[in-house]
Amino acid sequence: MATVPDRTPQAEEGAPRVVGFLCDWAVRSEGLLSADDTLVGMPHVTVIRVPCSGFVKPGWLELALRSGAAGAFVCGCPMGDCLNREGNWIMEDRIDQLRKRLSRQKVDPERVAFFAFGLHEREDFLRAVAEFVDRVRGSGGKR
Amino acid sequence: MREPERGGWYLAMAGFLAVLALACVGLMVYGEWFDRRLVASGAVGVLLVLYAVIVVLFRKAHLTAED
Amino acid sequence: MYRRLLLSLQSATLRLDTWINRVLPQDFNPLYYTGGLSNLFLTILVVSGILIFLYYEPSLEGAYASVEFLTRDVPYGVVFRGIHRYAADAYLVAILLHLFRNWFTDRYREARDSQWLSGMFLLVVSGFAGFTGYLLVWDERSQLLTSLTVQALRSVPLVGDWLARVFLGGPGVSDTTLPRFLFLHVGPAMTLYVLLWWHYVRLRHPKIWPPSVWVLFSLGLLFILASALPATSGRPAQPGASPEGFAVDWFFLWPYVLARWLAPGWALALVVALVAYGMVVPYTLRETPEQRGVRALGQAVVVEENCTGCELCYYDCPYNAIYMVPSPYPGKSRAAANRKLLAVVVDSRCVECGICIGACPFEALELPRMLDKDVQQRIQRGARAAAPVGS
Repeated sequence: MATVPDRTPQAEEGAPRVVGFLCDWAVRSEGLLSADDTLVGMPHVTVIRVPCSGFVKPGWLELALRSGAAGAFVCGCPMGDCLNREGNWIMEDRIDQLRKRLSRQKVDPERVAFFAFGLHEREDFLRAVAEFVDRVRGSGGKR
Repeated sequence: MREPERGGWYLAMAGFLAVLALACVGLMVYGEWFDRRLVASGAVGVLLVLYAVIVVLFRKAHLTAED
Repeated sequence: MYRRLLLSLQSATLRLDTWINRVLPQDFNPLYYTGGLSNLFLTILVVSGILIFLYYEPSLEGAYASVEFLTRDVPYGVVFRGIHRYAADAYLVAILLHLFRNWFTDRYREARDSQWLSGMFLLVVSGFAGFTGYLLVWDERSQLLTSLTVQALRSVPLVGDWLARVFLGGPGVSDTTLPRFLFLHVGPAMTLYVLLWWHYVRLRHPKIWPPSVWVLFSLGLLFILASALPATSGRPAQPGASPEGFAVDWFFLWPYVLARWLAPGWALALVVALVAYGMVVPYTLRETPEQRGVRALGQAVVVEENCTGCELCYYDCPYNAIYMVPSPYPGKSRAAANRKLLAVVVDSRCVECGICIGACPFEALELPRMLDKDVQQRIQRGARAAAPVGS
């Protein structure tokens, strides 16, 4: 059972900036975020809480990449269990289309990702975020 | 739960269940021939349940995928 | 305290999901398809019911004999009767799972109350149809159920006698009684489809059918049960007899078990009280905006200057809360100037999820308390901030 990776702010100089969106019904968010939207223990990751993963515009993910983030992700509810019935399917489709568009623009499509985790899957979520951060390390500033 | 090395086990199990399903067909014919109709309809039920399990096993063996 | 109970039930429900998702592929999880499972069993009930209806004779003398004929002499008649019987139980289990899951996972709040209300009506009509099915056999159990029901109805103040007469098709059990019971069984069953229309009307793409795995498994289980435990009738009803006990189907006949301890009128009152409470569940324990937190950002607002009538929001809204109307005036932005259609948000259906905002490529929709420009600011802050304080 993974805990939040033990990374102190000092260790994160040069850590890739990552911007993510977390829907309210996905993982339990109490104690997960600091006041400035960053993940507790991973201050290079900004997570913005949204009412549904389907609320996220693909343009926002592109904005994150253009503004200097190495990666952007959206985390929604487990597939099949969206509180709003279809939000996570719709968002998954939008991200698929965005990735195709990005690869046509010669941007690495792996820099955007979609996760689906439920109320009790906080450790899995944090592990997925940490793996995503590692994957996009070195991708920042390409655009 | 991704355990690709168990794919063989899932397929073997599916094969075994398919043989059982054939046996059910035999029971259906037997039941209808000898007027033991409850045996025949019970065999229909067992056959359907076996098919359901085989569908799950195929998915877990990555033979079929989510659409 | 009630809120804490609900929260822990919610947590337990979702934890059950994680266990099931470890064993079964996620798109086969039956708890994600409780509505579809209910519809599956309803379909099986209708098909097997029609087959039984072909042989049933609704008369005092002929009812029992016709059911016996179906059971003994019609090839596989006993199987269809059993499938009908067990599908009814499975149907009630499925709709109760559906009710409890949607209750514990907050899927009835605000604008989703019409699904809850129509669901409550569906539950009541389904329970009633299941109960009247037991009367049609006209064995000793049917007789006892009839007399208990008449007692319960007669004890209703003012209209009791009239209700009992409507139920029996006359002042007492007579030649019109069984045709009346048949009507009270098939009529509510047909009404279910009207209620289902109401149940679906505010939803886009309702999941009305479970995955094929569950169709196969459920049908198979019903065949096995019908063959292993054939449905049988009790002793035939005798006029003037007053039978004492009967085998209980707990799903449909539990109010009659209460008749052992309560007068039938009180059992009826208890059922009515439970149903009444069920009807008001969406209106109890309303959450304050603080409790709803990020889920209460205000209902979607169309920014009319920018709407081009592209219909993407209309197709994405899961609750049919957006309509496209012929555009009464052109939009301000260049893309919107030539629009034919304009999006309109139906406030009574909007649950503030924001999916339409995500769908719109033209900045023509906003959630009032989380505006596009604020989100952009937060993104830019996260994307380009310097190394954090303390490093």
